[in-house]
Amino acid sequence: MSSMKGRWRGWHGIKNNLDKKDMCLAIPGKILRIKNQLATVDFNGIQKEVNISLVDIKVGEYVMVHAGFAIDKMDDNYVDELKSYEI
Amino acid sequence: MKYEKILDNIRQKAAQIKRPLRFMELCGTHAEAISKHGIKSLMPENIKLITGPGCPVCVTDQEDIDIIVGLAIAGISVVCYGDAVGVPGNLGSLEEARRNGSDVRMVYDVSEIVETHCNASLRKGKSNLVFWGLGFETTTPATAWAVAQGLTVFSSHKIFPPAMEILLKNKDVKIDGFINPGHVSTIIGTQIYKQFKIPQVVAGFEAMDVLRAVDMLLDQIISGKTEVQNEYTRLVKKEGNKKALKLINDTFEIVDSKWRGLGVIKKAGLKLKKKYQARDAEYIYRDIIKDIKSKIKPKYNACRCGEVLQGMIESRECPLFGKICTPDSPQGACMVSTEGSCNIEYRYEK
Repeated sequence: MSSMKGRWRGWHGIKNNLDKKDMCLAIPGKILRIKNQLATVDFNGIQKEVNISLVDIKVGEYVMVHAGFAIDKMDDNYVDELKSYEI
Repeated sequence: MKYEKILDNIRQKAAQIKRPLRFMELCGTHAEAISKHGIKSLMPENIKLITGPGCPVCVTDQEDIDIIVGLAIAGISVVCYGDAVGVPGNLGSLEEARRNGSDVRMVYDVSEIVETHCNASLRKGKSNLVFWGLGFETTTPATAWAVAQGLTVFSSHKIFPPAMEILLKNKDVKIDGFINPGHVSTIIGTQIYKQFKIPQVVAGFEAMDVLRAVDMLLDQIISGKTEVQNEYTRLVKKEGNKKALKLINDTFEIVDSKWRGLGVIKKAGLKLKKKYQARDAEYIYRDIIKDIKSKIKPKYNACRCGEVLQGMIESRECPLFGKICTPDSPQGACMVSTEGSCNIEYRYEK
């Protein structure tokens, strides 16, 4: 199935994605630290400040980040699910 | 479930249904995932995946683009998301205005500008900087947050579900099922879609998510159901994000809104509430905007973006596609944004 390139291949491209300024880009990340409305989120090695005023979240949980804002909490088992997308 | 298994399921179910089926995705990120992973080529012959009006930059009306470019030309600093700067209008694009000396800045995140500008300007009590609030329910809460911090906003925000109703009423567009937008649904939840009597699946953005959505749509068609199913349960909740919805409702009022290709859609747009008039660029700069509107002379453009956005034609059917209209020289909005269907088709399928 050579045309199927969609398996989960780690976190390649995330740095590029963070550098782009396109609005509809959403990336999941893990909350490392929280300070008021801002959290430091780890995108597998790349850390970025994210606004968490739209969600109730704790350190260690995963969020989906869209245009700099965490839009919701992700299920804890989501990483396992993504990794299961093997061909 | 492995890819082979789910593709087998899709093939078997499609063969069982026999008749041609058209499934429309409603999010630029879905369009991108489908093209990137070559999913259209994996579909059985009778399943066609079509693109809907899911790119917010693309559906933004020409007049909004002309106003924001006009404001930049008039000397007002304009801040916007990166994919909006290249959209051509009657006065050119924001990018062209920037090249000619206007102050146009791009952000990935509106808080970048709130941090660097808003607080300082609040202290001075004056600001001539406008953030162009653009997008569906996913970016609207961020704009609402920025308004609360004191930022001046020009709102082109749109509400998604009313556009689905318009698509279903359009007799020229045949749709057998919707793949509903995953991140819009994160905010608005899944219940709002129940009003549409058509098979629907809210889906995530991995290749497997899209395939599962197609499989679930086929199940609904075989069983004769028209339900709203949620494939993206790792993120989307039935009730949506209540905090974000409250923020939207506190900041914006629902208005009729003109969408490119779809015309004026009732209750499909958001403008700042009167209590935020002091931060509403449409109110603050009403005289300049009136002047801009009176001077606009629409240029003829053979771009068929409007039909592309409704799934009536594919990008390659537009006479401009790939010839004079390319990502480096876009003639219409759908070629500008990386979420636009023409841009996606050019990058992956041309």
